[in-house]
Amino acid sequence: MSESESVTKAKSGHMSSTISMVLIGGLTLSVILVIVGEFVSLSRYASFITHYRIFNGEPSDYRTIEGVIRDVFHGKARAIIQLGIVVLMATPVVRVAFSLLAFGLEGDRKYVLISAFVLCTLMYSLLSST
Amino acid sequence: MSGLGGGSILTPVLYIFLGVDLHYAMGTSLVATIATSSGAAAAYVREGYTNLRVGMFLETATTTGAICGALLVSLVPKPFLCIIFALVLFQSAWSSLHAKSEKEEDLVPTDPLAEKLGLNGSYPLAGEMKSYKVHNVKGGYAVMLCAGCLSGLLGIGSGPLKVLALDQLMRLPFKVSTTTSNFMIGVTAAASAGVYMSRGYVDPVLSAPVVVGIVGGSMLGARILPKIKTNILRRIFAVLIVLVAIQMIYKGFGGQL
Repeated sequence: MSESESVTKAKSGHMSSTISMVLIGGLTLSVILVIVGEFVSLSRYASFITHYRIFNGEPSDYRTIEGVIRDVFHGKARAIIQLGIVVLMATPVVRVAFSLLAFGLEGDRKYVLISAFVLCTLMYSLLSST
Repeated sequence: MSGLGGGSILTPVLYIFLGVDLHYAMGTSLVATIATSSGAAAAYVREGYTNLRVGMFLETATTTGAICGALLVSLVPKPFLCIIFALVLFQSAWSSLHAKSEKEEDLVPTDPLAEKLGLNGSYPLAGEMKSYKVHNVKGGYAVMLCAGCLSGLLGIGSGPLKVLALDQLMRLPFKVSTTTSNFMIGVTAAASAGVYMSRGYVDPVLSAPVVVGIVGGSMLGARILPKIKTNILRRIFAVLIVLVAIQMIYKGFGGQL
């Protein structure tokens, strides 16, 4: 293995562990928010029955990121859970952003472009919910 | 852990057995898909099975497809969605029974496009790194566009179709195919998640137990993978579907106490 190859190998090993950390971090934060939200909601309403047989769609506040954050500050339990789910949805996006950065540091222009394309597609989707 | 995701079983369980509306079921399944993929990917990536370049390159196809699929959901009548869903489940069952085990020595020259994109890689096998070549990049890319579209349309990861493209068309080793497919599923699902959320398909009360249950389960699964042989892996998949189904029924009732 040449020196440059071994440098690349070391870098991609570094990239793998960073990606792994991003994923674990995102999931942990998401699960904590969901559990906190569940506790808050259980402590307030011992039983709440919701009807899911008919589709009404979520209230408009739970359809946008700003709406969710606004309701979290109003102390709404379901909004805390929904925030956890938003964090979960954002985790792969952050992963792609980190990959872009890592490819940039490796000087791999082709993959910087490829990652940037994926990131733009994801941002388009996420921003459609604002 | 089989790289085939658990999302595709969740929608039928919620929809058929628990009477949840199809759109809510799909939104919940999509959230489950992201959780499963990210949880397992965290472990696989570190083990060195996942081909990050193949994943990233093909994600350009799956995310584009996913957004198109997600935008189509409200236009396609529900009975049609169910039929497409059933077809996808048939394909999953077929592929879990017919997937090839480890390939013979690869003598065919690699796809020039794979060379250009630096897609060829290596993976740990019996204590050392074994290198492999990537084939038929264009074919794989086309299937990934379809997989992305189905993922957005049905709120699933479409793992079996991704594995089919990676394993059979691009001829990656089986473990590399399943882990790379799993790696891509999270990003694919995230691409449709924004659209699903803005349409009101994602409900916090339905999603909460799913997130907590799956994150625990998939992290555990990924830890066991490196120690298991691939042919056993596929048999486990069949059992896994049943277990996930039982767990979901329990969680579905338990989550709305």
